[in-house]
Amino acid sequence: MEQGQTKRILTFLIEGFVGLILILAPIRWADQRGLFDNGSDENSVERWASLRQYQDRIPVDVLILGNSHAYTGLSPEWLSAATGMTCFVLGFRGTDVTDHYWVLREALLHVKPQLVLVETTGIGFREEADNLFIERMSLVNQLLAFHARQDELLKAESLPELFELEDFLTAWSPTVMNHHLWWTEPEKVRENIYRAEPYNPTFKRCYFGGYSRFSSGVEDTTLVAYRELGGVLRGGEQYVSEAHANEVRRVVDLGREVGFNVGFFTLPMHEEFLVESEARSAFLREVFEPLGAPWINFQDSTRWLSNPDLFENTLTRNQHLTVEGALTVNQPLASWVLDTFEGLDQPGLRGDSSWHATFMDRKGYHAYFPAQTNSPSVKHVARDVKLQNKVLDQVVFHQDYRTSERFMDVTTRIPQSWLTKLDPRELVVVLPIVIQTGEGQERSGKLNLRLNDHVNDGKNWVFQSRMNAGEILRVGAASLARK
Amino acid sequence: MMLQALVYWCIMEFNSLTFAVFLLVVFAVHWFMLNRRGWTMARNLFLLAVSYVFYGAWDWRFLSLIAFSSAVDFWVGLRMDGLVTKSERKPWLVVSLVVNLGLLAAFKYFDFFLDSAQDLAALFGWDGERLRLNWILPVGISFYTFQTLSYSLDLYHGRMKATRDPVAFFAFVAFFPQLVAGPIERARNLLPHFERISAFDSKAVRSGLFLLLWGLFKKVVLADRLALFVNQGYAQPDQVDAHTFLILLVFFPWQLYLDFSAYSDIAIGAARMLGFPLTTNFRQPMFPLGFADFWRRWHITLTRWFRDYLYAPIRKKRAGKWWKGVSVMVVFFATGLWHGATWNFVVWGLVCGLSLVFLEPLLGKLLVRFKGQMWVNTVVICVTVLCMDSSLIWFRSPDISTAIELFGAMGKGWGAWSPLDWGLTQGEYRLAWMGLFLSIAVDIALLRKPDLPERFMSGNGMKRWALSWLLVMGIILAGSYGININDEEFIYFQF
Repeated sequence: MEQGQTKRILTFLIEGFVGLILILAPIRWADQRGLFDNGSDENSVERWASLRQYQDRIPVDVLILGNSHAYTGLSPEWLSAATGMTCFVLGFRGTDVTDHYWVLREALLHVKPQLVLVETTGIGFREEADNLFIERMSLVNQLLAFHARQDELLKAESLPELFELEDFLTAWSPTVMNHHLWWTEPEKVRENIYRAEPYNPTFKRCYFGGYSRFSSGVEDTTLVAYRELGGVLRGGEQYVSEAHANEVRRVVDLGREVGFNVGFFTLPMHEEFLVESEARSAFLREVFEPLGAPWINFQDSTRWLSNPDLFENTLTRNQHLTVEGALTVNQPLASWVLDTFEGLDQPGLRGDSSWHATFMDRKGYHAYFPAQTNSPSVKHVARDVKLQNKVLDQVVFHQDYRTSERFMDVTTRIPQSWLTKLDPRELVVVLPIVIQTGEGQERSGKLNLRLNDHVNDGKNWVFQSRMNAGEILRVGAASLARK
Repeated sequence: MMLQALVYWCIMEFNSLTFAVFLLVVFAVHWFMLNRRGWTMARNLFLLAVSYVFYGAWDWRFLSLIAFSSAVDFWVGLRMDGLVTKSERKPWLVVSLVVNLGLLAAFKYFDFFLDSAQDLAALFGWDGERLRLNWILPVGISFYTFQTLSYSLDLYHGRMKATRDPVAFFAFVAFFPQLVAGPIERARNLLPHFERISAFDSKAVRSGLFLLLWGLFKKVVLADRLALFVNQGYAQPDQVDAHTFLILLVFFPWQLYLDFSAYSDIAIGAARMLGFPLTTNFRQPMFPLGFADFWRRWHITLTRWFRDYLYAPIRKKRAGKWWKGVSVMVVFFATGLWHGATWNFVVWGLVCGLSLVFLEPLLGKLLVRFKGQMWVNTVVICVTVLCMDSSLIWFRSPDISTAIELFGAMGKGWGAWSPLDWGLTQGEYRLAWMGLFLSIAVDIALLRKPDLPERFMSGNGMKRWALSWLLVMGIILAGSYGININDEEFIYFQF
């Protein structure tokens, strides 16, 4: 080839390269300014922001990976209280185990967990997407999860694994993905343009990644539909591909390499929603057993599977736990963690003051730890209140900092005496109280507290009642009554 | 495994990122490594290989059809070479016609004719078990069959000499930029470029790249935006009234034109970047001075193919207006059938033929009588466009009953329609019209100054850069693409 021709080709390629930069630079600028941001997807941005913001102040002990099943089906605050460790759910909607692996890699830049738990819905499930809509929804979710990540190098490394070439630009640039906003939602773009800074949430208090989405359970008509359909999902179809099995291996290997424990857990679905669940369990077992990876499968716990209150009311191929369901699995998961992984450091149990300062006003704390009188959520604490011939450990009147709901909790050690023969579910604690009403008047009355069945750690019983009126002035001697 | 990965990465259309990467790699290897004196065969082998990868990404099994078709015509060419008279060459032409049209008939028309025959038989009470082949229609079969046939036909007519380089011939038939949807090249125009090495011409490469970008812009920003509305309208013909019918009447012809001319532009641009000139396929057909003028501007390579290889031989047999009309109708019957093996395409073809036979002479007289007067030109353009646009209702409808239902919508009255009724936004509707007006403005400018592209390419570099930049940014920021939008295939892929 003649010299002049080589020069001409090189000149053309250099021109092309310069052209490429001239095109990519403004798109990059628009990405950084967030001109085409379309808001956060079920707190995907917030999770990372909170993790980064609090990485130095609150060491994460248990990092939970997964998709929407993980962040709707677990309450990290309750789990933290039950384990005495800081639990953080880093889950992203619609993602699978390949995404989980890369999320973990990026999370390790910020935290050093003792234990990583992976929820298993993202193992194998996504690959059975058999129609274009589900496939596209999965891709959208994956892209949003990818956009929420910030480490450019790791994002570049993971790009070929997570997406096809055709989606590279969309994955890399929210501007490319959301360019349609300027004709579908122009006011959104206008809002973004006038915003001084791109959306980067900051938190007064650490956010641990939970996201309650489902407050009511499966309705009767839906149950009938499950029966008519013979189940919505078949366990026999939920196999684990070789690719996903390899991703599981990578997560386990990473744990060994970096030095943290890895465990897997399967959140349940209603028994008439997911049929042939034993086949699905067998697929998962085949993956975990050779790796020696601890795994707890709540789909095997027949105790809950028929309770419609615990499960999302849905006919789509994806059933989450309700808030009630999340609380139900909390204690068993915590117990499994503490029994399975030895030598975990539990800052809550060793009296770590910063841990207690973080959690003392969070959900679940009063069920497992003595109430702190300096906690902003605690309105009244009484200790050693008499209960017939027994003594209650504590009576706490507290207010949820987020929902402002107020609760009265009564905690007592499980007695070794005649009371043990009683089923606490059959009992109510009757607590005489004196309150001050909003008008400043004193009024007395009795409060019936029922057992909080979710706190079932074998040490304490917690009786609870919602109480929204007035301020507690004092409590009297309690008594037990049958329901 | 490697081959599987290669094919997986190459499932591509022109409006895909994969094709951009593919073209970049082909461009670099072609110019840097293979474009050397004496390396013609290596270069052609490479082009043949990448063309087969490009086609095989869709369905590798049908590569055998292209290879077979190429082999037969190459062999027929060798046989015809040296034969002096047409009658000596005729048997070989027949072999080529039988093989190529036979393949086309088997894959594209067999079920159509069988269904039609069975429907006809059913009318007379002979209704038995229905037979069908249900074969997949290979992408681009109509295009490459006509391309390879033109070689045998030109040899038969003594218009060219047969090539003795099989690699060059195979590469010519399978050349990826125009393999799937044309332009339908003549061997005597394109084949010589496969028989020599050409020098890198920066100007040609730049103009090729610009044409490619312009084609992409037309496809992704203009045509696909119109497609959103057209698809909705044709999917629910019972909901269409006079208002929406008018929208479809305007939008679909422009969508079709922009879509297909975009494909041609990208094909011509990509080929030009590799040093191969392809024939112009569209020349502002939406402003025709009559029906004949329309066909001189629309899908030029197909029209010329039919003119040279079908119309001319039939026309030559007899003189007279009546026979001319018959020749035209035969050609347009074939044109309709070429587009698709359904009756609505046949009807479309016949409507086009009738317009040419009966309306064209009237318009011609008008043009001669009031020569050069602006208002006459405008009237002729409007009449032609209205007729052609209406005929395309037959073209786009999935069947005849849908087309009739749509024409019936004109009598339904003018309803209050909003884009939201079709699940689209006002912004998208505005954008569709803006795109349409932009296309009209560009075509008017090109009609007035046909040498505008050449002048632009050899003019101020900054202007060229600025416009190229605007085109790419337009594609990225205003393109009708994305996860929630069905990617629109090029319409002519189905033919």
